[in-house]
Amino acid sequence: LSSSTPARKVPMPVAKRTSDDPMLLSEYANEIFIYMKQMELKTMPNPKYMDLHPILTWDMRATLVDWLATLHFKLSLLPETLFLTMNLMDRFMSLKPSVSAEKFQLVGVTAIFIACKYEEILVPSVQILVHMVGGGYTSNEILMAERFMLATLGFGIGYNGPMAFLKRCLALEGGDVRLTLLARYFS
Amino acid sequence: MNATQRLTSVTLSVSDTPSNFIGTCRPVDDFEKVGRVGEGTYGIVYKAIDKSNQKTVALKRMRMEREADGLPLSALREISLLRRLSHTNIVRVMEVCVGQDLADFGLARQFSVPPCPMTPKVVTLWYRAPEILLGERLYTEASDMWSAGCIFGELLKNAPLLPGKVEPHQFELIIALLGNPTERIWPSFRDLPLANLFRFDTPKMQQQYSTIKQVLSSSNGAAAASPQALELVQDLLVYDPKRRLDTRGALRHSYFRREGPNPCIPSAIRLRFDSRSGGGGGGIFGGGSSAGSGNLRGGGAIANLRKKLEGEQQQGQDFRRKIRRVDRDEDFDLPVGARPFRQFDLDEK
Repeated sequence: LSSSTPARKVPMPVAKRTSDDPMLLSEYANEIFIYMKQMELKTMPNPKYMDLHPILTWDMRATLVDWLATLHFKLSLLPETLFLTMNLMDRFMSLKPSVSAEKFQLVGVTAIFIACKYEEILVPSVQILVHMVGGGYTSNEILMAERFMLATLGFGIGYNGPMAFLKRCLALEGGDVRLTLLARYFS
Repeated sequence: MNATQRLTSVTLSVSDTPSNFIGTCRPVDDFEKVGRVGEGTYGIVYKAIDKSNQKTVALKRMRMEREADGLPLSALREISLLRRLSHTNIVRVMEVCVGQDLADFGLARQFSVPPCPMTPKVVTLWYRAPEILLGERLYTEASDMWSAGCIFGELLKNAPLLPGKVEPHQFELIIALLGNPTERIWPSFRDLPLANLFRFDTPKMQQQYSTIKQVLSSSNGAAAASPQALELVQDLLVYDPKRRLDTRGALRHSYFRREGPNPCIPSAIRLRFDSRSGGGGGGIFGGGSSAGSGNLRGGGAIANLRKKLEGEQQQGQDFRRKIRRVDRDEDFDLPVGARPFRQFDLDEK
């Protein structure tokens, strides 16, 4: 979505058929959607951030994303966690120039660690992440990177990813199971 | 607040002690504790003076004992949520400083719009809604309205309304106050996951009538509640979350209309507090970037570009090799005997 689009002019799906289910929060549906649009603009990474990193390339990012997706799958995490991981990683990389190739994977693994703490009920321990990076970083390094990333992002972790928007729109379709599963597959 | 900017210059070389938790921000000695304000489940709150500008702040010390896995998720959610909330009635996080931070909020989690199961043990027990006690995981904003009812009742009674010690005791107190739930007033409550853990047939669980009127009219130190006030508490403390008063209904309630003093804007209230913490405007932590660790090199754009072109291919291959080293399927197997996940125990004190 273009950042020049004013948040208020986007047509809003308004919950009408969902009043039976209290979790759909139809009472606050409009406020929530307006807020989601505002937050989306505030949590956008810089699309040209690789220019800030002389050593790194987009190709390396693709490699790292593949690795993170596999890790995410193996740990059976929620889809929201993967989207949040990518967002935290990209926003951190937009703010912190000149990350070295040695530390790039540390950025990725720290992003998934923080994303888990935000989204998941059960959070993987640091030991597991140390194991997953093949001993490339110590638990101490990951914990320090966690602090550093949180400080760099100013604790701004909230991010309404595609899953949040998809759920909002699917709620209007009356919760058809097959449609829901198909849409989630494509997202 | 200038001091908040310092957070962006944290380097990865800080010492790893609990007292230096969030990098190289200000030491807590920069604040002088004036008194203890209260104690929550997750930390102790102090009133303090910021020595650099003499402003009064709330200082919250997070419990950090036995944290092997970095920042506890309750703290992480609290800080990130408070960062985004901006309302005169909600405390504003000014900065996160050495081992401690300034603010208060519970175990808030961003509410995703349609349902998604949430952490089961939330809310201080005294204010926990009956559906959460019975294990409902898709709890809603109606649970917050229950908490609001408990707190409103506490203000009227001048003492906690439902000070349960453990979950079963909490339910006994609720029943003693409101009568026992029935299928008629709360359909399908027996289907909730933990409903059969509570024995509704014991004498303590048998109480046919609500005693809330008596409780709130004979309180020590408090004047008897007016009929409208009583009605508001009753409408908030409804068993069935679907029938409980919602925020808009509460604001329209006759208590706020028919009974003085009338609602007014906060500045019209004469507070007896000595001062309010001065919240600066704008971003609390600031954004910005800093040259911390990493290898920032000079040499100008052309040198950088050349370096990039020359090194790119080699670097890409090296990086791929490094990642691939742990990207074979078996590398993702969990080590034998490892404790893969850690559930943060929310009742830990």
